[in-house]
Amino acid sequence: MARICLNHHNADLYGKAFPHHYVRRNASHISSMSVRMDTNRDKIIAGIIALVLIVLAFSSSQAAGQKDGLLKIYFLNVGQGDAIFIEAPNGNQVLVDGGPDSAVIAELARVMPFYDRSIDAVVVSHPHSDHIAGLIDVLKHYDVGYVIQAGEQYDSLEFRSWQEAVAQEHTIEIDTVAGKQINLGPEMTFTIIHPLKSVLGTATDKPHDDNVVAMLQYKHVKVLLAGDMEAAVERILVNNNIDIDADVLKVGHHGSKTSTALPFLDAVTPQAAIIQVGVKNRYKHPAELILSRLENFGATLYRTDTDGMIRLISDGTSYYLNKQ
Amino acid sequence: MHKSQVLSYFLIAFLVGTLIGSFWHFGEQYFWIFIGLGTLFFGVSAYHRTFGQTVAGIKRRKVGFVIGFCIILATGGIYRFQQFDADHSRVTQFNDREAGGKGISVRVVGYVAGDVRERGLQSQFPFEVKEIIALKRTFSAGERVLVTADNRAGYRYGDILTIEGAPQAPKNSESFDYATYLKKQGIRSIFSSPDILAEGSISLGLWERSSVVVYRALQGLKSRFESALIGTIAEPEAAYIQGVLLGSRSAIPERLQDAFATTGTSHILAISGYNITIVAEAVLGVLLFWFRRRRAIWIATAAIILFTLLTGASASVVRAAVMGLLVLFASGYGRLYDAKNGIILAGALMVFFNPFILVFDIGFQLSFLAVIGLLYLYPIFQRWAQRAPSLTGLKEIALMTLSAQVMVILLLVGYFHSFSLVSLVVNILILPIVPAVMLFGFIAGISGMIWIPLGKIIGVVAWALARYQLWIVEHAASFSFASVSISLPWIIIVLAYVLLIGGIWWFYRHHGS
Repeated sequence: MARICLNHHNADLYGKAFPHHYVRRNASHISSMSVRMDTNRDKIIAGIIALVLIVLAFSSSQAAGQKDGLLKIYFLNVGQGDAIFIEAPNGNQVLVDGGPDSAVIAELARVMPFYDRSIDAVVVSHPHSDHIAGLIDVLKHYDVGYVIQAGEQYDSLEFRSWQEAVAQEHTIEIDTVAGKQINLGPEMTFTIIHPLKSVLGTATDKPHDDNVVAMLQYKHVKVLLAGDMEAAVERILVNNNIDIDADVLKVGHHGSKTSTALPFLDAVTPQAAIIQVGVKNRYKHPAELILSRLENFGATLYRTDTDGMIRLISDGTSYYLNKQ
Repeated sequence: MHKSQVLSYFLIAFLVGTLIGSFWHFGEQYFWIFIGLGTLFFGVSAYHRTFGQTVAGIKRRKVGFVIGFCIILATGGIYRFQQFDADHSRVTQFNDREAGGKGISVRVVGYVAGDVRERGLQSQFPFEVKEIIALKRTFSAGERVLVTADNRAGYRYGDILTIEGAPQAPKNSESFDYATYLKKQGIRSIFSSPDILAEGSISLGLWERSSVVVYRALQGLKSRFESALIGTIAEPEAAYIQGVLLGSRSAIPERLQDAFATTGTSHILAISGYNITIVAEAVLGVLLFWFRRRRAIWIATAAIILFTLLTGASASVVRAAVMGLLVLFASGYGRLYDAKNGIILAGALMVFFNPFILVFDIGFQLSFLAVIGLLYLYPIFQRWAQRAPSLTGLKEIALMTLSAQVMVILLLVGYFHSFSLVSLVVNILILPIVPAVMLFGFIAGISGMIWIPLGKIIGVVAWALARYQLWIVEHAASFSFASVSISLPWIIIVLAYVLLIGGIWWFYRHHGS
């Protein structure tokens, strides 16, 4: 009874000298009120639990629907910069570059399930800000298992911030050199094909020359990730007879005319080409010359500035590209 | 005239003075005229033979006293605004000065005085200038500027820096009045990409020095909390929870911010008096199961203060907390008379400390009006809807939303020229969940600071609740009729408010409180 009286909001006005007749007269009213409040509380708690369960059931069924044993590559729309998210059939995740700012976080949220707070590996093609700046935010939001980069020293504030952010995270750093292969699952490999010699610890002021180029292969489907590689690097790859034949090409340097030379295209023979580029960027990327060159080659063209996010799905024998 | 009524007239006089000062500039001679006028009223009323010795005469003399004092206080309001304005325009004098096509460089010494926002490759922070070195002379100052630095060097509140660059006045874009937005924070100059030298030495007074130390600790706590939150909850829900809990919008994608604006729910993303009232009521509701009402109110007060400290105790949050506490006490002790004076006193004090907020801070105006709505309109609506079933508190929330909305809607139309048709429905659908999101978001962040996996588990609950709210907002915003645009001239809006407040006053006069 005492507890019930305390619940009544006028109770304290009467304090301990609570007149007995008052208690008797109001007892039924007070206790019914207390019961009502208890059931109200239970209703509210039940309502919140129900809401949480409904949302979770709905979103996890959506997330489960995406676990279909296929390779998925998302070319994220991060404006003027590169960011490519790879999800292997067994669920391993790799992010190649992170774009110029935190836009990558919103894009990743679109393609990753809500409970997934980790990315297995982050690959840095080269230390320019339009490739690494967004990665600083990625490190803040996600647990990153491995950071894979060429390891050269580049003098810029952005790169210093990035290096500091990497040092603060508990990640394992791996340097890149041609031939290094990362197994992403059964019959799924991520192979570094450039730089040919390790540049670990060397200083550079032209990061494009040390650009990390990688070939992603799932059974028979091959995707070449060119980063910002320019014609000089393309020539090295072609002249050294390195196998760069691929089905899909992530076009080098946002479609700039300094990349994607004819001999290189002859060696790659892509069926589809993807350009990651910002709307009305100040570099006027992509160059008309490169667009018509790719078209003449018969490659289907996709661009993040007009198409938005682009997704590739593959079962290892065929692949399918679409806008998201 | 009742004593407390006289006090409210004095406070209103001060506010009116500040309002006048915000629009017109007065020279020194005017102040003498105003003070002379006030003294005249005093002098006439002080003489005991004025108006005779009858009861009516004495009453008239009292009125004369009050009018005289009101005029002097209003003059004080004008003076306060102009003095504040002048104090905060030392650096401004160097804005956009050019020599040979380049901005003239000024060197300033001071400290980082607020949230450091890191976006892309830049960090941006308010900076309290204590010394200006220009033209080979050193001037002392106490003025806030905005610094946009080309790096993310991890500046923290209280870092003493020397900055050299050309200050600029903020430029308005077509859709956004940036200058006014900054002015209410006392900022009227921007240093973009200046040279920043980490070291600098200034001597601060004891009060300023200790407040810097305290704020620095609070900001450190806040940023640890934020990084725990974004590490445990997926985006954009984490950004939304940050907005609800800490009032920081910057991480919320623009598309989503637009959706909130279209559905008339942006107020959730800023910590307002309204927002804090909801939290306080929720905390109170839970506490009432175990405590007496008065004790519960004190615990809720402690909770609000703790919350304010944890969110970094920025000026706008402190303002909101004061408003929230006022509503809490008014509803707890149910004395409307004190509430009216309390709210005017709080408003007057806030305006005294920063006169810019009266005219330039939309958030202050909205908060103030919403609180008036909760205190005065809500009881009226409740009386009208006495018969309606409570539906587990849904009615109360609907009425609270309605009473706040009715008060702010015209002001919103005045500023944003649009009116949300879905606002009421969306607010009723999502507001009841806001306290739950805040609670679980808060626990998730705190436990994430201690042990990440625990934070992730609780974070899933917070995420699901936030997901539901964002889903509602996104879908409601996608209706073509969600928002209609209308423009009303300011004179109509002011008149409408006079009528509205007059109507409320009339209602209480005739129906009692």
